[in-house]
Amino acid sequence: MARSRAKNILIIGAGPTQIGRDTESEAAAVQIIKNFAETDRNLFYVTSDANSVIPRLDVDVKFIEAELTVNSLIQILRENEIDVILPVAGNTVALQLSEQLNESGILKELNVRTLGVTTTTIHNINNPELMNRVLKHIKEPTIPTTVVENVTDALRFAKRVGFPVLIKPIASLTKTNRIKCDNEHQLMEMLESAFKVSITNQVAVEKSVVGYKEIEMIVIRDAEGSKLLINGGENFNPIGVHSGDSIIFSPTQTLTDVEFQSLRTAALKIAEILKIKGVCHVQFALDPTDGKHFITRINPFFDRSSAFAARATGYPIANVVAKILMGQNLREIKLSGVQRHDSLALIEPVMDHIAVRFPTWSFASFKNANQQLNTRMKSTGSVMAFGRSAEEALQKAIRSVDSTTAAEQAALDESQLSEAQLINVLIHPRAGEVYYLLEAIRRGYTVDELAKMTHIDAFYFYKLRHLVKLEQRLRDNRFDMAALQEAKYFGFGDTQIAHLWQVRSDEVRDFRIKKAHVFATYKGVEPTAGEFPYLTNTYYSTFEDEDEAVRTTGKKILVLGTANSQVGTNSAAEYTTFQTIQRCQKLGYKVILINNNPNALTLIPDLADKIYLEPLTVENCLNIIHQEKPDKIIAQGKWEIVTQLVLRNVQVEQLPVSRTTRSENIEADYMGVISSINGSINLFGVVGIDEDNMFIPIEVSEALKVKVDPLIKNANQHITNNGIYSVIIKENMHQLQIVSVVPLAVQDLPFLSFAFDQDFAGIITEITLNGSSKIENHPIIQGDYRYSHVYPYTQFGLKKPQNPPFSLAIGAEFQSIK
Amino acid sequence: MADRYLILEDGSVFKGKAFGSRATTFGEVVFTTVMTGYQQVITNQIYHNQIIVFSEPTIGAVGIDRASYESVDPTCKGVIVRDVAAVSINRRRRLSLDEYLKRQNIPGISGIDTRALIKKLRSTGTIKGSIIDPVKDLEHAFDQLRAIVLTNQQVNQVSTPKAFPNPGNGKNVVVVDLGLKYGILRQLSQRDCNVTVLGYSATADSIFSLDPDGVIISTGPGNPRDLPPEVIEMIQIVERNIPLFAIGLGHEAFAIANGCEIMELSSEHHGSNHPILSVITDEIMYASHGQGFTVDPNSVDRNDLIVTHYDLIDHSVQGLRHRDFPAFSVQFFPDSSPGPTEATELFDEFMEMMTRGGR
Repeated sequence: MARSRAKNILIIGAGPTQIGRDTESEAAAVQIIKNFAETDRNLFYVTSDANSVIPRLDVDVKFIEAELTVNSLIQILRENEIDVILPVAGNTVALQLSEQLNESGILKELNVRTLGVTTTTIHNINNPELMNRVLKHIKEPTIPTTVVENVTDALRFAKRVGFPVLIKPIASLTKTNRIKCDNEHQLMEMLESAFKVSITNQVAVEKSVVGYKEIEMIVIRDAEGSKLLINGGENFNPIGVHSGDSIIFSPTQTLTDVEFQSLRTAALKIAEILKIKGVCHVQFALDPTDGKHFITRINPFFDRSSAFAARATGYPIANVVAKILMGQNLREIKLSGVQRHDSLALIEPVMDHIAVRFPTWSFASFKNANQQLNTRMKSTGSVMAFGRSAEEALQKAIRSVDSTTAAEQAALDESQLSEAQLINVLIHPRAGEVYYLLEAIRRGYTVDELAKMTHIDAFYFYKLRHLVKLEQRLRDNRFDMAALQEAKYFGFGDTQIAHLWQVRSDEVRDFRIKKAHVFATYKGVEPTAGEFPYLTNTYYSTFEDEDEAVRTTGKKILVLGTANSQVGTNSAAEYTTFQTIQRCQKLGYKVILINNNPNALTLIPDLADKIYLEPLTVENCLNIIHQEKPDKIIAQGKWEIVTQLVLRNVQVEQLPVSRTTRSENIEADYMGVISSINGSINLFGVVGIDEDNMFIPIEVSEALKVKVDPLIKNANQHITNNGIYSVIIKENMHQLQIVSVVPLAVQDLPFLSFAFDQDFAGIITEITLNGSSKIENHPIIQGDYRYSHVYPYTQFGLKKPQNPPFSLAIGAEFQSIK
Repeated sequence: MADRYLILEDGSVFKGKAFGSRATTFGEVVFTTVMTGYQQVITNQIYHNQIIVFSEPTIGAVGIDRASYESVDPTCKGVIVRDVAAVSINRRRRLSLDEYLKRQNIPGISGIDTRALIKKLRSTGTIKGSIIDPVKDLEHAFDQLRAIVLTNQQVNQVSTPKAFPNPGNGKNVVVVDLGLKYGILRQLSQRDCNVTVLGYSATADSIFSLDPDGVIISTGPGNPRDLPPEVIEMIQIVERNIPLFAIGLGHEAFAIANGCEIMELSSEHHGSNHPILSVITDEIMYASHGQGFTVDPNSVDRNDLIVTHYDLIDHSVQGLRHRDFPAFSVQFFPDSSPGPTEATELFDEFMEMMTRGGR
């Protein structure tokens, strides 16, 4: 029976950003929506993410804010006569929900099917035992595991698969973790207690792959079974550290062709057996001694690995997958960038640069959190950097981490560290490990010693050792042209060099440009490694002969991007930048964006006119400003860089949004949101503030209006510049009074934009650029919801305090208040 | 590391650093986009008289591995790359690429803006180049480069002078060596074939005298039109009698033997990123390419030959099969060394063909 064509498609989102989930799912959703919008399907997008940009897209999609639960989804399926659900743009959340929907029988009842990944595959992915059976069927190795009831069987198993093994009691009386046993003696000892706590007297024994290389492969498959490898990535840390917390290199750096091809072949086989229509990320453990592999994870959806693969290769994964989901096959899909031949999306991407993804942390704000790296992810964001050597890419990544010099200092000076502390980090990796490794090399640890202690491939220590040598050469040769040239070639920043020369970075820059004539050049990011002429709008800097970036013509604006997601501003900042870019384009600017967050919404193809995938540092900004000569430069936050740029006579328009939010820790009852333009005040609406300090949009009654209006008129005396402001209001003995008037906070901006159906970020952008903006009031969007902040306490193993400050939030969520 | 120059026929100069041998070298400069398997590339005899540019920015990390030679005596003239890595030693201790190239007297040059170089090569096509020590008098170096005439007797130089065996217990296969790549032997070994490798001048009679179940015409370097006519004649006789599988240069010779014309590619194609359509199964696959020539599709006599494979990017003919004889050929390298593994099943097809016998 031929299926009727899908009319109503529901895309299930991933919910709010949190540790392990940045904006990559939504970035994929946006691209899928933009592609589908050109067809006659009705699109629905459901999420609980209060920072979602989807409500503000210029395309036809119905945004549904709802809790991501089976019951709420069932209601949505019924109300909207959904006939297809798309679970691949909502990470594991959407996949698990789809599994639950399927189990509930509702999909059958309503004749709803899934797109991209079948219900059988979803079922298998959610059940490790079933997945193992599938993998055995295609002769792919799985990690040997067994359940034993006595010591003899355990020993026999351990000898067969080899030590170390992990054991875990089954049906344990107490909460137990898996325990690693390195030898027979340890195993016997641990088994004794394990059997004791097991009600059923059973212990699971598993071969340990801790210390193996961790490799990820990203593949795409279409409905007719054509498939290709997009990218391979290699974790710097071996298995044992969560891959989201490890530095990742792409392409793989230390694999032989035989190893690489066996993983490629396995990943393609898996996409085939699972009948994936779209993207699939397969994670492997690779034994460094014999090249054998195990499959450790299969993600048949958009995740941070596929996002990084797309940025690293320049291959537009989400756009190609969107077309596959729309029913096209890879043979019919073109890669629009290729300037000759048949530009098929079937070209396997090749790279002539090295891309690094580098985790970023928020431990400065969570001092009590355990910083040791293990299988639980702790990084709150990531950056990426590109270079023409591993050294250069790594150096740029290190510089990307923080706009201040703190990270650079850390990278160069760990001399406070005691030897014992250092050894401890070498054996038990912790956040910022690479700085300690560099310090170990400075202190004379050899490559072999370090490779042995850390199980990190020696390749990387050769590279780190090279950086330390370059550092020494710089120290020994102040203002030496050859030393400078070599250091720049391998990725040293002007400020790093200045630190080693003990001078100001401007002196280095002056010397570099005027005396040494060493300039940044820009290379295009594209998936054919120069084989074909390719129209790309994405560039990274290096210090080589040819410069490919051509200065943008016409009216142009440089937008300083959000960079890595941080607690506090989190995805709200990315939301704001997204809207700023769109508004700038509406105002006739070509947008040149600097950004380096691989998961960023703003890095999707077809948004900015030109992208520099560069660390947001003063040096890079100056280089790019010199290259592009933008008419205007606009920033949101990024105070340290903006200040530095202003000191160098660069004019930067700073978006007037507050980063320390509104009524925090102030008891307040209402907040009015107003625009003030040339003395004229407009009230968009009022939200109530509940006992948890959360907003509830309220219908402004006549009674309230009478009270609020005079207050709002008074607000003007607090305001000097045009902009959008929060008026914090307290009710005292039935009297309203203004507590404060502050620029709209970036954290509140997405939710309030949604509640009042306004493009606040766009309005603020226009006011910043043009002095004013046309204001229109819209009815507030009805709904019984508020928004609340999402915090990473659980992931850090910390207890959430009462009323934690918003500056520690990692995301924001719609909450039903029914 | 000492400074070295790469100079090209068109007058351009690239400054870099020495690795490998310090000899002065001349050759045609070609680029490859393969991302793993530099050892297999460098030791592949198709690169005889050529200098190989890697688009992959770093090579060398896995050293030189005893199981990854495509020939014992590599004949390429140089290696150009952005960055050479020291050997990763978590695995077995291996010879470094630098040391290996020194021993083989092959010069390398690193620190080159290979992206700029490749963009140049894609427009100039294959041109001559030279890796030299820094000199004041570059004009003289350019004169020498322009004066160099590279031999067209390449197969003669790389083919084995003496027959040798690669024993097994299964099918009896004769491999005619036009510049043999060991990946072919490994595939046959995995299928337990009893192999005899003969030099390129092997006649049909000398092949028949070994009573083979099948014959493979190997890959090799250079222009197929420079092959001695005896090779073409040999193929014309063998294909009528014994299952025949021709690869790379062998494929081009097979095409000539069956009346096809050969064209030069505007720019050589080396890499494994192009999708290949298998016409018969209607499936997409990937394999390593290494070609400067291609079969003119208009010259294929459809009464005799079927085009079995196409490159979907440049539409070049990638595979042929004879309608009447048990003979087929592919332009790409189906042995997966280096490169994707999906094309290795062509060796299974060859095995089946041998099992079915002549017709």
